Amino acid sequence: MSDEEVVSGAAIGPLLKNAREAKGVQLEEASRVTKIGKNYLSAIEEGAFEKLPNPAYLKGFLRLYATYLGLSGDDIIARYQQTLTTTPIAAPAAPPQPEPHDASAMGVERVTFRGHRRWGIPLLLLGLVIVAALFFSESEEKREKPASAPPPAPAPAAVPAPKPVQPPMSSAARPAQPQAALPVPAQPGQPVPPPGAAPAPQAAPPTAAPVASAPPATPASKEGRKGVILKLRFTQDTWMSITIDGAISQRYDLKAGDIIEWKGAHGFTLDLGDGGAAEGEFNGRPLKALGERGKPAHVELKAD
Amino acid sequence: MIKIFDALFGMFSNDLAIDLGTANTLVYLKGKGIVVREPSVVAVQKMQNGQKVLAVGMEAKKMLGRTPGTITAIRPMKDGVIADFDITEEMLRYFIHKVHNRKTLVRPRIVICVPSGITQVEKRAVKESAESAGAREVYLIEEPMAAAIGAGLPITEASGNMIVDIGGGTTEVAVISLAGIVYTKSVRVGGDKMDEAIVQYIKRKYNLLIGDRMAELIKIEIGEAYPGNELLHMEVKGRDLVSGIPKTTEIDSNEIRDALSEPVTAIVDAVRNCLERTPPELAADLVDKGIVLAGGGALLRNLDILLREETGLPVVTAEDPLSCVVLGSGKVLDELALLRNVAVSS
Repeated sequence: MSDEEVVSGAAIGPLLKNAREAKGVQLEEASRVTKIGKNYLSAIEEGAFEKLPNPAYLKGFLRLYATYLGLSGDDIIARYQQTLTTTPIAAPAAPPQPEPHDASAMGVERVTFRGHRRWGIPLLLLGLVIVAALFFSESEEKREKPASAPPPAPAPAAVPAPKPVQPPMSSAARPAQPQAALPVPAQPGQPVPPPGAAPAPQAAPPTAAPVASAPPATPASKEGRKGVILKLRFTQDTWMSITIDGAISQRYDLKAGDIIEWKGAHGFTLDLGDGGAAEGEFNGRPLKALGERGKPAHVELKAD
Repeated sequence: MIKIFDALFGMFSNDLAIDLGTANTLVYLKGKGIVVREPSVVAVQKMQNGQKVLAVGMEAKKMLGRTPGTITAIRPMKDGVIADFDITEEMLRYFIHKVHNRKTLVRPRIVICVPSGITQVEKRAVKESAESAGAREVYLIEEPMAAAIGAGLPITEASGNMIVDIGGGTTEVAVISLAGIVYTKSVRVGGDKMDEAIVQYIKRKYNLLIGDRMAELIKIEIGEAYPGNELLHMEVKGRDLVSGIPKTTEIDSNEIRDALSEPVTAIVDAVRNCLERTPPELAADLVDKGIVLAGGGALLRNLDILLREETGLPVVTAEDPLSCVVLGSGKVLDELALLRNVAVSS
C-alpha cells in the first residue's frame, strides 16, 4: 500500500512542488498562508502521504494547497483518487460520489429492485427448514419400522456370514431346536447375524418357540420376501392386540365378520381373547387355528 | 430470543438514517446510499375539520411564500429542532414511506441526527415523531459526531478532531476523540440566519423587500465570508418598500459580505470558544490537523479562509459537505457496534 502511495505521491508531489517553485514561493511562506504545517507540506511534496494524518485530512490539505498554488483542487483530488483506486483507502471516499443528485423517484425504484435480492436469504432459510423437516420425519419413520433396512440385508448376509454350508437345512433345523436361540451362528436360517439388524427379531425367537402354533408359520416365511402380511377374518366377537415387528402395539375390539390386514417387516405377536375366533392367512398361506376355541391365545408369527 | 428476532427483522427491514435538518432532509437507505434529498418544507391546507398535507419537500418549497390564505407552507424545523410536532411527524412519515414503501412488514430501524445542544424535551419529540411515523427502533446521534464520521475523520483514534457543521438552523462545533465528544458548542446560527441577514440588509439599504428564497439565491450566488479575488454582481428582484412596485437592483459581493458579517462572526466566535475550552493535548492535535468544515454553510465562499485567518489553523472542507451528516449516520447503521457507541441515550 505504501508503495502505491509513493507512486501516487510521486505523481502529485512534484506537480505541487513545481507549481510552488514556478510561483517563487518558499515552503515557509506557503505554510504561513495555508497554516498547514511545514512538515506536512514537505511530506506532500515528497509524496510521503503516510506521514499525513488521515485520508480525509490529506484530501483537504491537498485541495487547500493546490488552491493556494493556483491549481485546481478538484483536479489534484481526482489524481489522488485515481492512484488510490486500488488501495482500500479509496473505499470510504467512494460512496459519496456515485449519487450526488439521486432523484428520489429513482431511489424508490431501486428499493423495489433490491427487494428481489432481499428475499433470497429468507427463501434459503425456508428451504433449509423444509429439508430439515424431511430429514427428521424420515428418521422418525425408520424408528417406527426399522423394517425397511434390515430385511433386505439378512437374506444375502445370512448366506455368507455364519455357515454358508448349512442354509438348505434351515427350515427343518429351526423347529427342531427352537430353544437354541443362543447359538445364533449355528442357525443359518436366522437372519439376525448381521450386526445392523434391529433388536426386534432377536427378542422374538425365544418367545415364539414355546408356542405350538408357531411352526406352521415359519415355513411360509422361507420365501425371504420383504416384509410379511397377516390377514385375519374374525368369526366371533372378540378382542385382540397385535404387536407389529415388536415395536407397534395396537388393540382392537372386533366383531364377527371383521377382516383386517397388517403389514410388517419381520413378524407379529398376537394376543387374542378367543383362539378360535379368527382364521386367516400369513404371507399368503392359510393359518392353522390360532388357539383353542373359547380360550385366550398368544401367537407369534415370524417372517421365517 | 430477542436477539434472534432482531437478526430476523434486520434481514427484512430497510434501515434508514435521516438527517432531519432545518433546511433539507436527507434520507440514507442502508446498502443503497442517499435516496431522498429534499427541503424540509410541508404545505398544509386548512380544512373545516383540521388540516391536510398538500405537498412535502421540493414541491412544497416551491409554494413557500406563494400560497393563498387556505394553504400554508411550513418549515417544521426551526433552529435545528422541531417547532411543529405534528407537521414534522407528517413529513417523516412521508419520507419513510417514500423510501421504505412498506414492502416488508417489518418496520425500519432509524438513526436520526439531532443538534448537540438539544434538550431532553426536544430529544423526546424527535424520537416520538419517528416512532409514530413507523420506526421500529430510533437511535439519536449528535450531528457533529455524524458529520465527523461522514467526513471520514478518524474519530475512534485517540487524537483530537475538530468539526464545524454549519447547517440551516444551527452551527455545531465539536472536538471529538475516541468516539466521544470532548467539547461541543452549538449556536443557533446557520444558513437561515444568513438569509435573514441578507433580507434585512437589502431592506435597510435599498428599501427593497425580498423573499427568503431570493435571499438564499443571493447567498449561494455571490455570498462570501472573506474578500475574494473577484467582485461578483447579481440582480435582485423584489418589492420596493417606498413605491410598493416590484423592481430590480444590482448588488455585489462586498455588500453581501457586510450583510453576512453578523452571522458569520457568530460562527467564528463559536469556533474560538470551542478552541479555548479544548484540553491542551487535543489542542496540539488540532494545530496539526486543523478544522474540518461540513454542512451546507461550509459552501459559503471563503468561509474557510476567514476561519483560517481567525484561528491560525488549517481549515479544510469535507468532501460533499451537504451530505456529510447523513452519510455519517448511514455509516453508523452499517456498524451497529459503533452505533451503540455514539448513540445518544435519552
